[in-house]
Amino acid sequence: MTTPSRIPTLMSGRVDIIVSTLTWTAARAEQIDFSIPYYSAVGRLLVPNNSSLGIGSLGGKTIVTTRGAIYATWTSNCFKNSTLLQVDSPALAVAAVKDGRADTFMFDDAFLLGVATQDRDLKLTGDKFLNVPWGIGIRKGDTAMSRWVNAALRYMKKNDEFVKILRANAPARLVPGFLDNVPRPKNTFAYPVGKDVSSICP
Amino acid sequence: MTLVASFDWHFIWEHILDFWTGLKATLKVAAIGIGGSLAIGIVLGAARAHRIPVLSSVAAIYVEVIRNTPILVQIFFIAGGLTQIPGHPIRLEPFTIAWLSVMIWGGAYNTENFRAGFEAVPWRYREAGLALGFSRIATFVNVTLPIGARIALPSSINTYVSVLKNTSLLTAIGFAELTDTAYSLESQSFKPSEVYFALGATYLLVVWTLSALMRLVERRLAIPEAR
Repeated sequence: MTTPSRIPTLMSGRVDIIVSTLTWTAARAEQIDFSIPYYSAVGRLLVPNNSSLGIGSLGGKTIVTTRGAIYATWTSNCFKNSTLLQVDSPALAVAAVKDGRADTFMFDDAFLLGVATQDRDLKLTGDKFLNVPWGIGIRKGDTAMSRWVNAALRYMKKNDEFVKILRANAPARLVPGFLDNVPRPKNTFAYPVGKDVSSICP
Repeated sequence: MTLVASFDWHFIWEHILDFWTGLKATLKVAAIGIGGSLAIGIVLGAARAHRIPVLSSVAAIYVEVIRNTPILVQIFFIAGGLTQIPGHPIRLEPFTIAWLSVMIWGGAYNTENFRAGFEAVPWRYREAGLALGFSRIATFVNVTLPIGARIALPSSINTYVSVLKNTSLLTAIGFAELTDTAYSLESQSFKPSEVYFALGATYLLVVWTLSALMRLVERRLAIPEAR
């Protein structure tokens, strides 16, 4: 399945929930329901090791991201001097950076960090931007599913289960950097309802 | 009826500039592709029709490979396969990949169009040319080409129209032509009816214009006794 086909696939009934780094956007929230947030994602830039690119030097460069992502809208709003390349999956975007077809891959921190840890030739720049949470996508009106998913997420949040999952899956040295991104008993994440984050330029 | 009633025309108007940018890219690629396939068609078609050694066999293999593989596979090969050649990886710009793939595709089909056209020129005309002292190349340029190209015109028009429509497949490599632009727009706005209607209407208009232009050319070039 491709990134842009996630929501149509949910709406058609082929799948019942989307758990796929689905960032909340107002346009998506009109089509489907979102669960409570389960990860507070931050945008990062993935570049080759020898690159000195930063968020301020993207003029004239090629930025790749997945089709329909908030990064695509943000780039077209805020980086009019850069070329936007949209592909149908994060794997294709990483390939584009490695191939040299794109100068940087703009995407969520969790995914990019996983890529950078496993690939010796790629790294993340220090820039952080567009802090918008992920949610689980549910068909509009499927209240039974919404109740069940939200109850599960609240249970996991209360029992600090997300940190346990994080520690079990991420390299130890990276865990401290992500403790603020996962739901914990004492923190709250909120979707930016009413705010168009993709038009707020650096 | 409700589909028409809920159609968001304003949305299409708001994004007309995006469609125009995509269309410009499509037209640029298609123009190079059509021009290139015309040139390839004439040269290789002539080589095949006159059975020029080596070149004719090379052309035959080229035509068979391109006609028997899907164009999408060809696009992927030019975009990605060439970067894997050991020692000499070939990495092309998206625009280059775009016009190269549609040109290579159109060239193969056009080679066959022109080969048939040149072979259909009655031998007596070519014989007359040679008898008048024209060299083989001069006979080709003055006799075979004018007549054969006119015979090949209707089928090569088909090929040019297909080249234009095939540019839509370049969305597979993320090249920002018309279809890719529309697809990205739909992924962000979730208005498939409006977006794909506008996309279809645009292609219809452009392809129809191209066909109309080609028909005009065909009429102007028609062999006098056929008119």
